[in-house]
Amino acid sequence: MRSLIVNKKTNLGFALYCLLAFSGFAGADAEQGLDYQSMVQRDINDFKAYYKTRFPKIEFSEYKNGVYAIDADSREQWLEMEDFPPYEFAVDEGEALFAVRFANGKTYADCFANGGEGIRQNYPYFDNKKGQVISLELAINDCRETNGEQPLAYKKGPMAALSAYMASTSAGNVFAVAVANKEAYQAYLEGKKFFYAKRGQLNFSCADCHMLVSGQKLRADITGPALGHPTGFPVYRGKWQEMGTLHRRYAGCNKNIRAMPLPLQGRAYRNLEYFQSVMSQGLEINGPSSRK
Amino acid sequence: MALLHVNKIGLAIMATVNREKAMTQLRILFFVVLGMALFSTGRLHADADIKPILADARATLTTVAAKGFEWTTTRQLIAAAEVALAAGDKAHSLNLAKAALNEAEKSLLQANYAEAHWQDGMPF
Ligand code: HEC
Repeated sequence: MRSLIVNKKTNLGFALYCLLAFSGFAGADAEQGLDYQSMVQRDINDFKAYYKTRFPKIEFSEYKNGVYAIDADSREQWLEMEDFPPYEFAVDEGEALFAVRFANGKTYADCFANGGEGIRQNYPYFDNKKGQVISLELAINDCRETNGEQPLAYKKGPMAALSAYMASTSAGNVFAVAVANKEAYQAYLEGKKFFYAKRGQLNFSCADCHMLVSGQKLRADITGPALGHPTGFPVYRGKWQEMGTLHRRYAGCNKNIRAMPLPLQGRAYRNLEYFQSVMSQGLEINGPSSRK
Repeated sequence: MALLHVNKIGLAIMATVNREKAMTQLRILFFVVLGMALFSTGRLHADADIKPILADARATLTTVAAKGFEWTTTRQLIAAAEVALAAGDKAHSLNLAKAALNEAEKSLLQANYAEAHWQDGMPF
């Protein structure tokens, strides 16, 4: 009798366990089964459609040129500037730096696929092992640190030069940034939130300026479309009188609305870059480039 | 319309009948305000009033910064309040401290609002 009761109990326990386990598996299955890339593709389609409606005459491929895609006046000046590209020296400097041997005898080429050439369009990507987004600049510093070198600052200087050189070897390759699984999607979603959330004392989101009022004058500047934001980076900017990275520009746009900039290459900006690069899918890499 | 009429009449009666009473009340009010002003200059500007406000502003700002929503102006206000306090300008310090706390609280509201409603910013 006693053993029967015990049996009953264990049977009930076993049944419960099975039920839980099954529902657990079912949940996991549902999550694995979610097609993150097609969820993201819907976002990409919406994003592109928005600009297509807003600027019906602009070819999709033009969006790699930032504000100059939509503003004929400043485009003229820009094209003149591009005749004697002010970023050329940075590409040369970057090429030289790229070739320098680390103290341990290795080079940057040892850290990257294809010796680091023609790979800009694959960044940023979501690294499953590290559980985070890896941008090109982060990978450059990873490479340095793995080989016992000091990391470089992310704003400008040698980092911008290396990034410029690596972008230049990838000219014409199209952005192909994937969102393959749940963790990657989470990072993408964080970037997306960042883009649409209002912040700063002036209470503006990226989308407010780079979507809603894109093509319109905001103080002295016409605001460019967010579609294609990362393609031309790093840039030589007249206002800076030097090269700067994409995250430098993020920080600037945050400051302009009196929001405290976040750390360059920190998690928030990398996720934002991930989102922006996914949105720019299909656009050509044309960095480095020049800007006002 | 009828209501307005009654009010006008009421006011007219009050004005004539209670003029003396009103003057007395005004006199009392004058002394009360004067007393409060005299009393409060000493009280409101004590370090003990400014410091908790500043501490509150700093704590709120830390929470906001962790959410990535700090405004550039808030820590400037806090710093300015500290400078004014150290210089003995307590009235100014108190104003700055209050402004800092106000900003910190607003930015926290903004952060929490964004967390719940960021989709509203999507133009499609
Ligand atoms: C108050 C309006 C405003 C807000 C908010 C704003 N920006 Fe900008 N941003 C500008 C203007 C103006 C420019 C210069 C013109 C241009 O290139 O669009 C610019 C330039 C840029 C550029 C350089 C584009 C290029 O082709 O060189 C990037 C990238 C950028 N912004 C990203 C962002 C991101 C991401 C956010 C949100 C974190 C943001 N911006 C928020 C106004 C804004």
